[in-house]
Amino acid sequence: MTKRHEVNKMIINEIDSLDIENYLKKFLKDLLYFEIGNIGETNQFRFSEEYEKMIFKALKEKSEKT
Amino acid sequence: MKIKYVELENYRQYKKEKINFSIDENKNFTIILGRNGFGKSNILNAVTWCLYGTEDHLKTTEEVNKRFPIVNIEVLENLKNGEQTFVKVSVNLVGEGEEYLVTRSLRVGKHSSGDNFIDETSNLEVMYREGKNWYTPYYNNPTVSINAILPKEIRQFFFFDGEKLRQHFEKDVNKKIKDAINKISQTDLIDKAIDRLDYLRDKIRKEIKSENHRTQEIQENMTRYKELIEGAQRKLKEELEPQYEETTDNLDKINQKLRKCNVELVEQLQAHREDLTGTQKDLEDKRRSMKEKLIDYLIQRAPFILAKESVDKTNEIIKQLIKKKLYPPPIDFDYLQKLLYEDKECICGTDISKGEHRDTVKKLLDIAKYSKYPSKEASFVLSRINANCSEFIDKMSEQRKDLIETDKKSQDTAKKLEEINYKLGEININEIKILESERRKFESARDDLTKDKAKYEIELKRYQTELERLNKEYDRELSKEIKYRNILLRKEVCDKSIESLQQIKKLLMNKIRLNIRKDTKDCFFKLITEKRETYKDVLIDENYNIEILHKSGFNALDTLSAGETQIFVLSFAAALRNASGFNAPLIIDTPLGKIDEEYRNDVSKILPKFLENVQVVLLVTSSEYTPQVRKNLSSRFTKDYEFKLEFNKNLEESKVIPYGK
Repeated sequence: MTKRHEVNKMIINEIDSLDIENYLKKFLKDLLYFEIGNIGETNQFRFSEEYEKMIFKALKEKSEKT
Repeated sequence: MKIKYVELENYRQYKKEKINFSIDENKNFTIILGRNGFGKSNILNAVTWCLYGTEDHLKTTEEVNKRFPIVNIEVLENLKNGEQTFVKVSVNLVGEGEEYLVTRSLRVGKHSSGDNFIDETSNLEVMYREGKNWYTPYYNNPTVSINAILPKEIRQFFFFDGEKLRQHFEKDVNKKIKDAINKISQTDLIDKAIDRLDYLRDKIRKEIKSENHRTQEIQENMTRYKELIEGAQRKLKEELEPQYEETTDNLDKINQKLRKCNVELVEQLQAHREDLTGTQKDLEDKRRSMKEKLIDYLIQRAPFILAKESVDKTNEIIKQLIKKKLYPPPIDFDYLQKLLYEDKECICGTDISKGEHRDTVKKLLDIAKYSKYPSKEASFVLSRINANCSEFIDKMSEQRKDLIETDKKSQDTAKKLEEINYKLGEININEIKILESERRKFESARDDLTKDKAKYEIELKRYQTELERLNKEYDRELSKEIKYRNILLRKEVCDKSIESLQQIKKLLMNKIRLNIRKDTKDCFFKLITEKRETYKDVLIDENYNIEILHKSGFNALDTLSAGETQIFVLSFAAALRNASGFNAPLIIDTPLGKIDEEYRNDVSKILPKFLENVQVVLLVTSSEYTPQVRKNLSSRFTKDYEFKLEFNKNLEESKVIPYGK
């Protein structure tokens, strides 16, 4: 019932139900999809680089909306 | 994951033995029949020893266990002085496209003086297969690999002794279940994301080279608190918790040995001591909860008590006002309203539809408006405060009386425990003296560890709160400097994301718990056909305390019969398997041992039905494996996976042979 892909699906669904701004929801989803696609990857530096890119994207989106 | 085979070398009764288990989806049962002492339980022990380094199911009454802990006696005796050999158990696990070989070995031998030796630590190795070759995983942490297959904390729901099912719901088991469910729920994705966001947040913070003295100071403090948190977490996880677990396990093993030491008086005293220890723990829990309730009550009532003096004074003033006919106010709001809006004429005949007189009445109406409702509300509030105050003394004395009674009971139990400890300490049998002394040592170590754990947990909480406060202060300071706006925005994304992910994890864990509860309940109620009406519900709270609600409302977990407990444990194991997604095998020693004969038939009929697609290994005695039971299970195994054990006393060796031979 809660095998890995089901847990992942549940996590994504929970993000939608959170009372947070949309840009943050999108950022969290991007971040988790990225994690799902990189299971086993241990290079912390690569992750922080990718995360940074995602943060910039999210902030850009936020400023465009406002 | 399924176990394809277990290979034993010099392990207890086994010199060199390979036992194949059925991995067929439909014929999913493997049966091993053996008399007591032939090594049935040691197959289960071999699996837990190999995977986790512990032999959970030692039957201490067996002579062989007393003489030497783990190695085959004959192999050891035949070694020449200065020679050594290995005890080795391998478990071969297969899953969807995966195959692992877990091997644990331990060096044993004879010193040149002729004394036996056994290494204190064993060696564990995990290999995985690719094609025809075996490789070591690149991260090479065997314990992590095994925990991914089946975490140690919940092994008892997959590898268990049918005769000791009650232990599944005793003592600290619920905490272990909760921790294990955190591990197996595969929400590690969230943990990883949180870790990485935290790492990134630190990196972003370091970009700030503030010249503001206060900001620098806060940053230094934050680094210090982070280190303190890491230190406390490390101390708890790597040192205190494993030590506590090991000490509790050792204590349990000694208790078990004393319970089955073949000295009637000791067995009785030990059973009594365990009962009293359970009672003492319940009393302590009750005492703690009563104290908490009392404090809650005090906090809740404190405002009323503090307001009591003012309330009394107010009441006195009201009384005087009533006496002077000034309260309730002499002007009736409804009457004035009628005069103004309906009659438009005063009782004296003055026209009040307009002009100066109307304004005068309007002013009176305003006064009356404010005095009418508050006066009613005030009397309600004041009477409530008075009621709360007057019942306060009674309720406090009642609760204090209960607390004193519980304290007394707890002291009496402690005294009785002391007496038993003294009696057991006085028994002049060497083996008992050693066990008692070991027991005292482990008990005192466990108490010290409990205190240390609590100390570090409190400190950890304090550091975390302080770090949180510093974090907020840091943001406030930085927000004063415009040049850091962009950095703060990025940091804010990290902060909010971490908070959201933590919230999601909490929600998910709750959902998983509710799923486990539902699955356990559904399965249990489906299987206890005859007594379905007796029980109302299965409850699992946030701390994984389990209750089976009797139709009369009490928790019936402790009153379940052996058969019902068996079914309940199996239901819970099935729910855990569903929740985790791990299809771990079930190995059950004496599955029907404690079950009455008429119930035995039912359980053996039910077992195959709800253990579909689950690998099941049953270690049975001939009294359990009756022709009827065999018939009930027959659709689930082939003759290739029905074995029996033979034991050769001269060679101190057990062999696993086909059942029909």
